[in-house]
Amino acid sequence: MISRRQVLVGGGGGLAAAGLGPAAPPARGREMGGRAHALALFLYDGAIPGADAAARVAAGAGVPAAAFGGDIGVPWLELVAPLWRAAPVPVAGITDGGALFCLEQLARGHGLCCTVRLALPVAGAARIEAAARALLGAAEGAPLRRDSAGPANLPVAWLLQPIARNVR
Amino acid sequence: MKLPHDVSPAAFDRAVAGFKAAVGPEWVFTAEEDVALYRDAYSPLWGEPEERVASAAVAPANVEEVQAVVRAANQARMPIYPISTGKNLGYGGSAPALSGSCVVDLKRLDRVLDIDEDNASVLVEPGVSYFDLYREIRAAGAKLWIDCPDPGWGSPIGNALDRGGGYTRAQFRNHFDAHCGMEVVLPSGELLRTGMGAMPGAKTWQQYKPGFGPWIDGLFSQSNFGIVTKMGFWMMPEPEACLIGRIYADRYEDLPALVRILTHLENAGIVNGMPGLGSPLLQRRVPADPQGDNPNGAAPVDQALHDAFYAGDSALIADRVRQTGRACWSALVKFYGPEKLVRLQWQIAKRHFAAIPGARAGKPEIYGFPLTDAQLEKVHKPTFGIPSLSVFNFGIRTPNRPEPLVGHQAFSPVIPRTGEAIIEANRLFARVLKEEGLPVPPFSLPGSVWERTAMLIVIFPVTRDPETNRKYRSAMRRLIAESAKRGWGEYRTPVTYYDAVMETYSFGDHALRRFHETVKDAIDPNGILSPGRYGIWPRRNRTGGGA
Ligand SMILES: Cc1cc2nc3c(=O)[nH]c(=O)nc-3n(C[C@H](O)[C@H](O)[C@H](O)COP(=O)(O)OP(=O)(O)OC[C@H]3O[C@@H](n4cnc5c(N)ncnc54)[C@H](O)[C@@H]3O)c2cc1C
Repeated sequence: MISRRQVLVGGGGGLAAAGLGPAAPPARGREMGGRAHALALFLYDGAIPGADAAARVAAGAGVPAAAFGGDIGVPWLELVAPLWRAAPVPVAGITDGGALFCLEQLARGHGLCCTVRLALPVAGAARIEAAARALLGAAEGAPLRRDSAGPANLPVAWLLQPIARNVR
Repeated sequence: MKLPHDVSPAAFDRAVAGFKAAVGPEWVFTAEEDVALYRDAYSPLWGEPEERVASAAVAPANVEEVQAVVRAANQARMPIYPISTGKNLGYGGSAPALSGSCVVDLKRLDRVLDIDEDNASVLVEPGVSYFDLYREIRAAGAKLWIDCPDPGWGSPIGNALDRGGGYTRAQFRNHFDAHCGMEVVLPSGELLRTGMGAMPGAKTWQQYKPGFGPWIDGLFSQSNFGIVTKMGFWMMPEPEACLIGRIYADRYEDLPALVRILTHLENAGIVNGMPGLGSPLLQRRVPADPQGDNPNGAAPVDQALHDAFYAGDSALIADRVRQTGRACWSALVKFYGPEKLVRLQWQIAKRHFAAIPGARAGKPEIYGFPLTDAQLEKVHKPTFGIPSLSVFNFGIRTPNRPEPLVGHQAFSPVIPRTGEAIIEANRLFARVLKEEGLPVPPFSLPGSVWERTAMLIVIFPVTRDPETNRKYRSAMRRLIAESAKRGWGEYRTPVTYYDAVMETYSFGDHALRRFHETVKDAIDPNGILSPGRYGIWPRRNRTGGGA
């Protein structure tokens, strides 16, 4: 079972495992042949079967990936909030609907909205890998609204991008 | 864009120009996609013409800018609606009570101004969230606990002003009671400090609550009399240990005695954590199905058993207790303090509960601090002063509630903390819902956030189907009225029902509401600040101009 500690895997910049202490926010994107990926962080719920495949895809693109288990409040406190305090950068993930709902609400205060939301009724490595690739591709393009919301207790692949102006 | 009925587009433009001059044009939001961020995701009126929506938002960075925004609003007679972190989901989110108001978003006032470990207090601005405060206290190395609601995404100020509650000791979990001193921008733009803060150079603003003369702090909670820009809070010093114990009672008739003893133990200070009541017999679980319809393992409702609880069929209940080995009732007691002391308090509590024939104690859990990773995985974090969002882990669909839903609204009346009232309230709510053609809720036990009282919460779904939402709104209104006939009133309610609830606080031909209105007219003659919040309308909206 995945521990509730954040483990930053991959990330072209070679991010080490980050403990629960205040984690340094990952830099925005990682250098990939001189170019930073638009995505600043890829979050995934380690309890979703095959979700670590997403981490490998993200790592391959130089995007830091972080696993969490259960409480989205932990990666919020340690990773996402520090990132967005600095700048409203895109974040993607594969989580359950409840975690996405929380991040969507928190994202509002930073002017980010959910621009891609793909329900994953059948999880598993191949499906998850494809979803992760789709998110990475979408993050590089202009924000688009591809909402296919499924029931909130199913895994969902999502992308939060800055599309509005807000206070922070 | 929606504007209040008595605000012309020209007046709106004047207000926006005034706001831009006050805070800089980049901090005034009028574009549709920016203003949409302030929609209430849990609105029971979602997509209907009556849904409360903002016309614009303005985000000042400091007190002077808040004052300038208020003055600009007065000049244009433009209604404004302040929020702190705006996470009031279930009670309005960040949408205004009067559609077309301009949200004053205070998230940029985000400083923790003081952490005083010796005095166990903090002074914060409205944009500081529970997560922020937790982080700053940790960074300062102070051994203080925050008391937070289930979701840690809100703010000490926003939550306290809405009179929210948490989970630790009574004096901290009642968030408004836990405050000590405030700074308020009045509807005129003038700045006021309450308590000792009224004295220039005060040395005890976060130490002594009332100051001198009438203690007016309560006027700024659940109201529209000012914009709070600073607030002090008393914090709980980290205890050495926490002991959580459970007492079980088997007979249906035991409830009144169980509640009486529990309440006495709390009033006497023997139990100093939040007490709880439950029914192991009703709370059956089955293996969870994380990828399916039952991620939490909630068992299907055993209707015959719930009916027996409603009807007081103690013979059937006794049979089920025998068959399952599960107790009919449980009382949860929590103690914070030195380990020796909490163990002693637990012994004393058990002696009191022994007055109930057959009552027995479960094995207590004892925690020292900091919690281990393994403990953090399992515990309810707010009980230990840790902000969390785990409350949203619960799957939205269960076998008992197959339709997808997007949120909830809660009917949460304050009832007497007696076994008799708990049963009577359950029966009333079941009857009303049946009459409204809605599913009868499972028999439930109340929360005990507030000392001496109980709060029996009925949760209704909010969906994206207007017809379903309409049915639940109608049920809410009936519950409000029927409960009031028995002398039970809501402690807090979604914006949609402000007027309906205020209508029930009608002693002396609505003397309370008339007093609120007298104050409102005196301090906010232009009626600019949060019109309609908690049923307080300024004069300009009182004659047919409401929401
Ligand atoms: C699943 C779930 C569980 C919840 N559990 C709890 C719980 O355990 N306890 C609880 O209390 N709540 C609970 N809530 C409700 C809500 O999320 C919290 O109360 C939350 O803290 C309120 O949001 P906020 O702190 O951002 O306040 P805001 O939304 O910022 O403020 C609330 C209201 O107070 C007024 N206000 C705010 N700031 C100011 C100011 N500076 N000056 C004047 N007026 C102001 C405004 O009218 C505003 O609308 C829950 C909600 C959900 C969805």
